[in-house]
Amino acid sequence: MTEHVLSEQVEEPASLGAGRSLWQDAWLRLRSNRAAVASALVLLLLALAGFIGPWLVPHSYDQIYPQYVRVPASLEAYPKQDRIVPDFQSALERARITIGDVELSGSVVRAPVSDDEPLDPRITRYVDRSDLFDNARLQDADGNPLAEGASSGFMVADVQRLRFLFGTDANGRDLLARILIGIRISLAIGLLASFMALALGVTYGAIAGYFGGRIDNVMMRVVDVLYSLPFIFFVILLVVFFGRSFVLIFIAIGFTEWLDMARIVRGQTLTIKRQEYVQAAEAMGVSSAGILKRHVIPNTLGPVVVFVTLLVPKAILLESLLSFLGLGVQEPLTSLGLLIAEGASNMRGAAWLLLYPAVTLTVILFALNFLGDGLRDALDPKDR
Amino acid sequence: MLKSLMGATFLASATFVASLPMAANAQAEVVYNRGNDTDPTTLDHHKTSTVAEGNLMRDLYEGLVVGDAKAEVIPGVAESWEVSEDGLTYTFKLREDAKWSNGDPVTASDFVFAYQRIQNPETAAPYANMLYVMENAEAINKGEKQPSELGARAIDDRTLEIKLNAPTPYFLQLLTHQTGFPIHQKSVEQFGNEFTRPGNMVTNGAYMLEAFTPNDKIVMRKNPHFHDAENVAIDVVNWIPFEERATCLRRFEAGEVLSCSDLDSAQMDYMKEKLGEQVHVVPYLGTYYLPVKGEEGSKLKDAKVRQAISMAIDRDFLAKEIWRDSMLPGYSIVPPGIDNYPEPVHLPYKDQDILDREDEAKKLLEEAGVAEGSLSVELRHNTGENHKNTMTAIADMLKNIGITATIVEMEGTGYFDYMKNDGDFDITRAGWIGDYSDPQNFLFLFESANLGFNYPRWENADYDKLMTEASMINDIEARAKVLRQAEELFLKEVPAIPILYYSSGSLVSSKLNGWEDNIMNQHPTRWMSVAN
Amino acid sequence: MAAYVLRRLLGAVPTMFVIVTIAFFMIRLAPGGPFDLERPLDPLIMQNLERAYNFDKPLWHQYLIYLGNLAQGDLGPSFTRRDFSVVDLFRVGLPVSITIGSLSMLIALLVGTVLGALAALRQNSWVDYLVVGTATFGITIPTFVIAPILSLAFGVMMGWLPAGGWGTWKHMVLPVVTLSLPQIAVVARLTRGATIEALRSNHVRTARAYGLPTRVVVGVHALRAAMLPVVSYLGPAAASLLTGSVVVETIFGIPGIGRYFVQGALGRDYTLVMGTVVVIALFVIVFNLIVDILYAWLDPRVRYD
Repeated sequence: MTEHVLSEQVEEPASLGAGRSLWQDAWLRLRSNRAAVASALVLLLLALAGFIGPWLVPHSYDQIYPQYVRVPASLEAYPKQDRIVPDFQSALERARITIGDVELSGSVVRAPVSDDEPLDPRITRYVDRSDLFDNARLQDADGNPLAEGASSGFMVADVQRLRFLFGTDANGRDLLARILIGIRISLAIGLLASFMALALGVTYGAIAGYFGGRIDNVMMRVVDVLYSLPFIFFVILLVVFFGRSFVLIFIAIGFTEWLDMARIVRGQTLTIKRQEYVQAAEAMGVSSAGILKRHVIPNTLGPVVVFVTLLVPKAILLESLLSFLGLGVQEPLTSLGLLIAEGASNMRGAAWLLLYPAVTLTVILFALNFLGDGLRDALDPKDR
Repeated sequence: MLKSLMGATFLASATFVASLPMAANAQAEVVYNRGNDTDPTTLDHHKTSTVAEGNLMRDLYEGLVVGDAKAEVIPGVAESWEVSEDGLTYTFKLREDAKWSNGDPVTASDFVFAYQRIQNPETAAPYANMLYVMENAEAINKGEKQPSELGARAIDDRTLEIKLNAPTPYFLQLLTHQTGFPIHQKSVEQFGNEFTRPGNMVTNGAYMLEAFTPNDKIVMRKNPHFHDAENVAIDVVNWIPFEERATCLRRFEAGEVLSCSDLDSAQMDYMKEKLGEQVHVVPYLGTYYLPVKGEEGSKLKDAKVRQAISMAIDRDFLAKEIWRDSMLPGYSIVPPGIDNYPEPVHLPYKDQDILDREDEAKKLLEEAGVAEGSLSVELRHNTGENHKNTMTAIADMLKNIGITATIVEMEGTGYFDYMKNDGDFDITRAGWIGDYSDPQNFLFLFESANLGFNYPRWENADYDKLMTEASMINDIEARAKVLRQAEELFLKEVPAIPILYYSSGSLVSSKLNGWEDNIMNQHPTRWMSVAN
Repeated sequence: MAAYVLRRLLGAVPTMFVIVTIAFFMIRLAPGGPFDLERPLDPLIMQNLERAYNFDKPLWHQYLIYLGNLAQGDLGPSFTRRDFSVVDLFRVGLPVSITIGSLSMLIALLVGTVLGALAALRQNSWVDYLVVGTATFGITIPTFVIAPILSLAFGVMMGWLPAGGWGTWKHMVLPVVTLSLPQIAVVARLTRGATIEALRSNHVRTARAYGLPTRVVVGVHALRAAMLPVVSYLGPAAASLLTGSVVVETIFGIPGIGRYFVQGALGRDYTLVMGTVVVIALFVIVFNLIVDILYAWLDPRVRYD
């Protein structure tokens, strides 16, 4: 009984290239899948954040704030109120002058200063250097600029309010800015690596499947061999040979991920090759390259697209493994994986360093997975 | 005679091994689970070189002299010694009750055998040069002389004479290093390369090897034949390698290990708050510095430019914020607290404010003809979170004096190979932990003949001359004066910029008694005990 | 069948040869060697060492020596762990890796298929969403985040299980859970997809139409078909468990072989790296064979002769 049904199913004509365009149809189905649409929107937003965000946030991803190393995430602006006066005092002490009581009113600090000799106007830089203050100036009692040669007066400075919504890292850099740049790098690595796997895998698989016979045999044996060489081996050696760079990392990942793609495409090609329209084209004398380009490759794209959406998150995760092993992108650039690896080692005492990058990565991967599922459902011809 | 003797030894060790499990059941053993940095490359101490290996060797072996709980030199296998007037000949008298873990007596010839073996080129000992101070040692290691020509000789079973090339005030200290330990000739000859296996290995220290599972643990059991065995309180030490310091911290908190050999500086604040007294941060005999090289004709070849860079580096920030106080700001190559070096020297701007230093640095750059923004340098480092953060911070500091810096990270082994092969770099990082407490052990790094360590390949004839001169002087004060001159010269030229002194960080459980903080960071298990 | 297995195994010999050759020359061409440590060695001492390990011979000669030893099952001495031969190291490490690897695989299969089938049967219900959500979550969190969190929670804070180390069954729990989480996720997703597909297929519909109870239909017909993608996933997954456990081994301090691979490659322990490559390649080949055989058993349309 079962056997019979099975054979019937096998004989069903494959629906590739059926009347209504596969892609139009898929698009309609995808649009009706709410999870997939939401995921696509989220991804779009995050991609925008990664590409435009770094210009919108107030801090640059490589700007170091020495006074704000590892400050926790906070909606309030820094500095905290109780730090202002002591920091102002210690900044002034470095100028080696006599300091009176520091007073703080609103966002202006003021302290009487004096010295045995005339005050050097350059001492304001001791205050300006601090990340907490800005616009330091010497004034007389009335608030006018201090006359030259005076040996006493007031040091006045504005408190510089800085916001670190996600806190800062071990070097005193804004984590939000770093996450945004990390999104950019991680998405770029994911996409480029997948694209590379796609280009390599589709071409390779289609050629092997289409020509078949000995060529296929040899080409697939090469894939078998590469399959058995572990990924980390490749990557460590690539990093050792060429140093670490962004380009290298996506090449390394793409280079290890094209193998699955080649297998899938080859399988598809074997089926397509037997279709009447391909045989017709062959009979009409269309060249092999032409058939591959016009008939074979376009018709393998369905499963390939689904596979790619799953490949992107995989590539992003692989990149994070590399970062954990200390083989990630070069400072001052960063990736989500690198941020998480750094965060994991700071888990206690500075949990925000792990939390925010991890949440960001999770959201991205979630969205990519749901989008992949949606695409698969949409492109799956069997349900038609 | 010889044959029957060997048979007897065999039998003795066999019955001993068989009796172990019974002894284990008889009474509760005191077990010490002890964190170590990594697994050893080998337990053949002639082929070891790392700190982690040194820790193991100090438990397994006893040298002529040993370090006590405070790492001060006390008699070990030698109960007394005499030094000739010229400081060139040492005569050691060995104690009578010194025994190997199989019951054999420890004799002077065990030491002679060991010292000849380590210099034998066939042994390929990485640290053979530690003992080059012995007469003919270097020539033997080069294959120019026979091992038997070494200046170490057994006068009788209990008298050992060692001849040196030059008076070496730190010689006794040197002998506490694992390269100075004896080796059991019979088992080396019998088992060849496999003499370090559990069951084969015979040692003369407070402990003997019971098991070695790579990446898991090394089990050592108290050596019943050890002459001071009655004062050894801990029965079993499990040495556990921790590549991840955070892993050791977790197991420490869970009570699974009693000590960790290193601290995770990322979690320093947390540990100090939660573990309090159990966190030990102690000055260590080590310096973290930045070798400066530059291509031929580069501005970095100008000492003024190097000095300017050195001035602009805010060492307090690095020590406090980047290393979370697990390092100290450093202004000299020879770290503080070292022996044989009174009145150490420093960079002159040690106590100057960083802003004033930057002004001076800018002036120096101007004098050297470096316009603001015209010089860009590469900061190179090997993989490591803290190295990365340090270089990132330094790049930012150099910005303040108008130097642009980019960072290049290299994978560890490739990096060391690159440096060894005279690879090009502008500024890189290196660290040196002293093997013995003497300034020579730091200043020799930059002798022009020292191709391995002298990353910048700095050549200065005056410096070399001072170093040679110092090696001939027996009087410590006079010698220190010459060494100080050498360091002053070095600090004026700064071919390598000292930025930090190492601290040794450890987690030590409050249950563990007898752990004495010391600058060598040496803590043999024999001085410790575990409270219930 | 036996002939097929034999043919596949024979076919693996040239594959192995190519793999060994590629790996040998790749690792040997990498800059640096096993003796390049932070403390550089005296050039003279370096020479002594290189002579002791045949590094002074030309590379092709060393390659032939290696092949000769390999043919006799000798993987050579380890350079970074000189008290052991590579075979010694595997004798200790492989059982450990296989234990945690196969346990986590087993758990992933059991939990994953059950969850996946449940989700498929209740497609688009809250059960489905919950399973898909957790499964996705399981894939997205890197193990180097999960592992320390589990160790911290169950080892340090609650003290129920050891925070790390190796020895008793208790030491296995956390590593196995960590390793199986992402696998459960993948298996659940695969099973869910395949089960949904199978439930819609003609033969299951027919079986239902004949009035067979759902339990039987799902248990016998649908799950059998649904196992196909899971089985084909198992091959690569099993091999990746060996190398992929690097993180878990490092964080929990487990003496498996995953770490040797990274330690070996970073420390240029040539023989150790080669040994790991050989072992992993063998695993991949054997597992792919097992998968193909399972496949034939599960899907009568596939035949080998």
